[in-house]
Amino acid sequence: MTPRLFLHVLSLEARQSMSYRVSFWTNALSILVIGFVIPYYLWQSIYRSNDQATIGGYRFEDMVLYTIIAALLGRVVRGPNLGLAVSNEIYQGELTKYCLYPTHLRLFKYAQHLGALMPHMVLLLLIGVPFIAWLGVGEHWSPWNLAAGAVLLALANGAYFLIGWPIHALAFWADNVWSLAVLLQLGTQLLGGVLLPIDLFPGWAFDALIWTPFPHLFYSPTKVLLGQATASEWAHAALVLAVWNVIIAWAGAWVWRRGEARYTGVGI
Amino acid sequence: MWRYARLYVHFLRFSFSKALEFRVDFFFRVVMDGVFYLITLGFFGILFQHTKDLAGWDIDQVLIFVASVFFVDAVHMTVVANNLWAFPDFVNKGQLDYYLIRPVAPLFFLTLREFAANSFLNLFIAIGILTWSFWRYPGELGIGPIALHVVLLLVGVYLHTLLYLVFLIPVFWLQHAEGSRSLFFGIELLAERPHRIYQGALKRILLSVIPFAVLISQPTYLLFEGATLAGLGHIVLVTAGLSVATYVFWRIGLRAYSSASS
Repeated sequence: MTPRLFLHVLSLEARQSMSYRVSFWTNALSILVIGFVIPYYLWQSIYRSNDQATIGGYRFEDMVLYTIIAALLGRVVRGPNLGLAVSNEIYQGELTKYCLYPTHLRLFKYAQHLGALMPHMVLLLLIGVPFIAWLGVGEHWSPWNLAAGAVLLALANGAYFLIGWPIHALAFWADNVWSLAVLLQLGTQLLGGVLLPIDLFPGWAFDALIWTPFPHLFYSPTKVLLGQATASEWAHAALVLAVWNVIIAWAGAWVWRRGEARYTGVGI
Repeated sequence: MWRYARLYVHFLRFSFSKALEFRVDFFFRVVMDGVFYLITLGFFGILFQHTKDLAGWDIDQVLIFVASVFFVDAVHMTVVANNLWAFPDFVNKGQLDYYLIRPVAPLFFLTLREFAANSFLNLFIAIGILTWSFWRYPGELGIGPIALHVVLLLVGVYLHTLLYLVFLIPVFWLQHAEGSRSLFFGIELLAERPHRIYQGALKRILLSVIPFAVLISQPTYLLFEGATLAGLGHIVLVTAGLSVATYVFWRIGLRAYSSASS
C-alpha cells in the first residue's frame, strides 16, 4: 500500500467521522460523565471519609486529572471499533471485495482506523486542555512530555488495533465475536489503568503487569503526558509496547491466514 | 393477559432453539459477563485497599451493592438487551412496520421478543454471587427485606429498560442512534456507584429526572437502613412517572416515523 493511498483513505475516513455532529457532542458528554463526573464524586467521597491528603501518592486533584486524561486517551487509543466492522464483513461475506483490492487489507483498515480517530483527537484538545489548565500538570512537565507521550500514544494505538485484529479474525470460525471485543475493552479498562491508576494495585500485580502491554495502553501515556514519568519509565513502556506489537502482529497475521483459507465468501 | 403469557412462551422457545445454533457465541457471552464480574469486583477490591468506607458503606455492604448491579445487569442482558439493540435498525429499515400492524402492543414485541438464552447462564451466576453476598454479610438482614430488595431490583430492571428506550427513541428524528446509545452507556455507569457519593443537583436529578439512583443504589440503602413508606413511595412515584413519560415520548416518536424512509 503506497503512503499516498494510505493518507487518502485516512483523510476520507476522518472527514466521514467528523460529519456526525450529534454523535460527536454526545460522545463528548459521555466522556465527561465517565471520565470526570463519576471519578470526581467517587474519589471525593473516598478522600473525605479517610481524611487523607494523598492516596497512593496522589492528591485529590492529581487523581481527578489522571482519570479525565486517561479517559480521553482511552478513546484515542481504542479508536472506533473498526475491528467489529471487519468481523461483520467476514460474517456477511463482504470481505470478498477486499480480496479483489490491490492493497494490503490490514494497512487499509488501519488507515481507516486512524482517520476515524479525528473526533477523539478533537475531543482530547477540547476537553483535556481546559482540565489541564484548571488543575495544572506535574511540576516536571515540559514540551518533551508532549512528544514522548505522542510516541507512546501511537504505539499504544497500534497495539490496541493489533490485539483486536486476531479477535475479529475469529469470525472466520465463530458466528459472533462482538462479545470478545467487549471483553477486550472491559479487561483493558482495569488492567490498563482507565478505571484507576495501576500503581494503586497491590505491588505484586503492578510488578507483573508492567511487562504486559496493558498498562502501557493508557496508564503510561497518561503519566508521561502529565509529566509524572521518568525517562527510563518512558523507555520501558515504549520498548514493551514495541516488542508486544511485533509479537501480536505476527500472531494476528497467522490467525488471519488460517481463517482466510476457510473463507467461502458466503454471507448469512 | 394470558395471550401475552402464551406469546412469551413462544418467544422463549424460539430463542432457545436459536441459541443452540450459535454455540460459540453462547460460550463467548458467558466469558464476557464473567470477566465483567471479575473486573468490577477487582475494582472495588482495590479501592478498599485504600479506604474502609465508601459513601457510608463498608466492604460487606458494597459487595451486596455490586452483586445487585450484576443481578440487574444479568436480567437486562437476558430479557431486554438484544431487543433494544436492534430497535434503531428496525426504525431505519422500516421493519418497525411489522410490529405496528400486529394485534399486540408494539412495545411488548420490541422489548421482549428475543430472550438471550446465551446470557441465561450468567443470570444464574449473578444470582449465585448475590446469594453469596447475603450469606457472608456479618449483620442480620432478614428474609423479608431480602425478598423486598429483589423485587425492587426487578423494578430497577424495568426502569433501566425505560431509560434505555428514552435514549433510543430520538432515532426517529436523528436516524443515527450511535451517539445517544453511547451516551446512555456512559450515563448508566452512574447507577453502578452508590448514589450517596453524588451531591447537590446531580444527586436530585439521579433520584428523580433520570432515576439511575433508583435502579440499584436506593433499594440497597433501603435494605440496610430499613424500608420506609417514604422510600418505597418515592420508588413507586418515579416508576409511574417514568412509565408515562416514556410512553408519551414513544407516541410522539411514532408520529415522526415514516416507514423505510425514516
